[in-house]
Amino acid sequence: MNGNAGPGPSRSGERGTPLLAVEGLRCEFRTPAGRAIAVHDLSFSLHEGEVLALVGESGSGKSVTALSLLGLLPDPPGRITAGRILYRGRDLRALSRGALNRLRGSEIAMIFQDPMTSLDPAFTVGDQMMEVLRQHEKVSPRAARERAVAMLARVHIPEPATRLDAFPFQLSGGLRQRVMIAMALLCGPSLLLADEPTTALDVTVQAQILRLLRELREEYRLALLLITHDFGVVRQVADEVMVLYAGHLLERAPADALFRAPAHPYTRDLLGARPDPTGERKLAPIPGLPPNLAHPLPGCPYANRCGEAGDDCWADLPAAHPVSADHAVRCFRAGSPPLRP
Amino acid sequence: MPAPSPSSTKPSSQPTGAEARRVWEAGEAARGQRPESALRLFGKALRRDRWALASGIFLLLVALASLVAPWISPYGPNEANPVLRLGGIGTPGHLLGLDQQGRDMLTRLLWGGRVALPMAFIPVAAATVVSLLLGMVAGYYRRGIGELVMRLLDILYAFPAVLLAIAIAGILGPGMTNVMISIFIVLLPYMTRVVYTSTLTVAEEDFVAAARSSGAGDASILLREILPNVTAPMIVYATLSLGLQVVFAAGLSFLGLGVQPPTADWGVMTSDGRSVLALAPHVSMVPGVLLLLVALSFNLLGDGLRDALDPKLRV
Amino acid sequence: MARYALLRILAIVPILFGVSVVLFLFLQLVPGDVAATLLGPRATADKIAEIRAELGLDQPLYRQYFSWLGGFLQGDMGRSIALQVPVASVVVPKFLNTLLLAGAALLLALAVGLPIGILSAVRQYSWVDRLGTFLAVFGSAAPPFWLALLLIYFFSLELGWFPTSGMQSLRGDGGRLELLHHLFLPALATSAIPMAVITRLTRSSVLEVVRSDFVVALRARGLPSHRVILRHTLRNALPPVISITGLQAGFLLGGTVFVEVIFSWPGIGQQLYQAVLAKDIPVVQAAMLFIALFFVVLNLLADLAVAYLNPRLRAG
Repeated sequence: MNGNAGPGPSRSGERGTPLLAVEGLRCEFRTPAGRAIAVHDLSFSLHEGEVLALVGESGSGKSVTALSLLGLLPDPPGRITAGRILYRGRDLRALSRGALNRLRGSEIAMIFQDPMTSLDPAFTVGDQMMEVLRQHEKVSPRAARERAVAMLARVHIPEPATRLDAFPFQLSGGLRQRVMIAMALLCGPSLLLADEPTTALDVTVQAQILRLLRELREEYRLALLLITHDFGVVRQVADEVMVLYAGHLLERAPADALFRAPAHPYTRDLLGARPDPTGERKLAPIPGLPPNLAHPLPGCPYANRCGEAGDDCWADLPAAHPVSADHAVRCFRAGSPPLRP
Repeated sequence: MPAPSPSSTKPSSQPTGAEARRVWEAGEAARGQRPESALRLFGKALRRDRWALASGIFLLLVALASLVAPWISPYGPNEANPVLRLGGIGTPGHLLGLDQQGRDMLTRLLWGGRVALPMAFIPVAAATVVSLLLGMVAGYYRRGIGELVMRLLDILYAFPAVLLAIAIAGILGPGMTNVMISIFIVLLPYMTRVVYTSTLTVAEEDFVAAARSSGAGDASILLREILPNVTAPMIVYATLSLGLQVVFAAGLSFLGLGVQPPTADWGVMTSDGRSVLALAPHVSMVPGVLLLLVALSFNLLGDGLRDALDPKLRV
Repeated sequence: MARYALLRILAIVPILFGVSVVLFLFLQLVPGDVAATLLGPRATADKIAEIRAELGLDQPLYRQYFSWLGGFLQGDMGRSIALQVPVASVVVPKFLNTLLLAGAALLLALAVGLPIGILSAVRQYSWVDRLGTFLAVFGSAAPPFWLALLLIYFFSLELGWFPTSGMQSLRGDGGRLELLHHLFLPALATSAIPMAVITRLTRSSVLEVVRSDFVVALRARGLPSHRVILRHTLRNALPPVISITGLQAGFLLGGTVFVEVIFSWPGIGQQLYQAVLAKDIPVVQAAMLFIALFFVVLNLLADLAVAYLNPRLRAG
């Protein structure tokens, strides 16, 4: 691509210019209770063909992050107040509305949590697919229809030509999510933002959708930003994981490293591997609630629920520091009690 | 010292972690959940919404002033001073001017509230009570009685409300009671529909099933479980409706179908001013503006109540 | 869809039957002896008996009802007691005048309410939104009779731009322009409430759709905002607006009473008002039946339009 400032053509595996680089992103919301910072100073990058998982509970800022990448934060009440979002070196925040619209849906696509509500109920699947295609490319209605059918077939929807004329309410949840994926891939994007793509689906359908995403990633060399609260999903598809809590990035690591040796107490708690006094590992819900974003904790956001928090955690937010070359954590106790001593 | 409420920025004088923790936890405890009940609705709406508060205060003042009109009004309601006939706003001794018979406008406005307000309030209150009864029973026994009640009310729905009230009031003959009867009849289907739909929703709730499985009878479920949950939306609806009905009752009097002259009433006064509109517009404009303000206040108060009841509806 | 429409049309039959019963009972609501009341204190006993026979008051109630209804169904609405002419000749032309006034008011309400409602939702908290809120709050609280007087005072008496009453000028040519000139103020006064309601409902309906997931999804696919708003949001926000417009159109037929009386607009509202004052029950009954019929049909049309827009009903 032109305008790629990176040294040499970027190929997967190589660490050239990242496809997406987020620098110091900060998102704020105005709420009746005051100003709430939903995302604090978040930086990360994503290369072509890579799968990065953004993990956290609801309210951790993961969906806000995804929406703000495409400039879709509802404003008011939300707003990006700082940071740069570089896609192939271009700052999306500085783009005109038209230029952003040309990127959305063609270069960067997004799929959403609830396939029941993410399709316009008043138009047929085909209408909506052809609308996207013709928005981004000069194609005849006939060619658009053929490509839509082909894409439906590609995401394993049986009888794609018939489904094209169906209204969303005539499809099951799993089929609808496949339609959403087909619609996202229609214009051949390089980056797919997937916001909880399997959460609203039942377990068997979840597995099918995840398999499909893995398949498509291989086939289209798709970079995937996967937003989820489910480590099961992360384990199946992610290369790299970021753990978000109350808008703060608490830990970032390659997926295998994270599962092998989670460094942050919150990550360990999320993984359900709280060390028990008896020495046994068992699944336990984390006690307490995430803090209200309008009333943040004075120091580490996890201090009130953390089993290892001390006075220092209440006084200051720890800086991120490396545990190993590509594993960083934001905790004073980082790595102190290893999972298996 | 840190501010009493925990803030996102750290105070410059480094507090100890323990102190920061104590402050934050105190703040959380203070924000801890308080139980919400329909009775708190008014307080909550008034605290949060300054328009609703201002409206509530205004309505209270108007009602109080009308109540004590015999003691505070500067003149008698039908006491005429023919010399100052049609005197405008600011005529000495007559703050809001005089009408074509030389009666003091302010005095008549104060006395008018004694007619205009109850004429709307009584039928709305009566319709609220009756519709709660009808709507709850219809919503709870949806198949038999419910079907019958709602179908009968559908018939009243087929008439535009204003027209039906005019026809009923007209046929019954003029007078305050007949106005109230006609407003009551017209309101009933609308209010019952509101209760009916909220009852249908509430009856599906888990706590109703729980009460039933613990052996509660129908009467007990209706009174203890359903009534408290359908009352709040009804209060909102009744408040919003009051504004409309004050205007409408005055309208019937304006047409000569309600209270008759020379009784001081806001509608009658507006009507009196019609014939002298070119000469002295204040005679009909002043009571009209008061009606507008009263209706506006009921609307704003009702909106505030609705927002307090269901923050999701706040737009 | 056809099945739904058929069911919906059949459902109005019992309602109209109920309406006719209620209207018939109106006659019984008149306090005292109907015939005597109708004729006034100086009526002779013979005359009272004659009227009683004409109204069929000497017969049992149910027979009175069926003969009344039978006459109505054959187009015989009876005679006006006060005017001594067939009711139809009074009611029908007046009804058409009201349709003109109500139609103009509704157009005005839609022309202002729809765009302001949409813009208010799309640009929440902007000046358009504030203007829309003001319109909605003011319009729904302003007493129509006061508003009518205010308009007359300001635009007719002070500025002299519009006539104060009637449909035609005394020495006018009776042309369309003249009619429009007379129509404007009454239509404006009548449109206040529907304008307020339509603005408010359009705003909340669009706002709800704009916040829904699929709108975010559409924007995420790069559709420009005008397309998202005009094609997708409106399409989904329209049904409640159509329902309320149908309802308001019906209310308008009654809501014009104040305006018709004040502007001397020779419509059904004014006619009904005069008939009510004169206890001219046959005219009251016919006017009410006309209006109720129209009201029911308008709501039926609105319901059918909403059903047509619902893919579940259309496709299913």
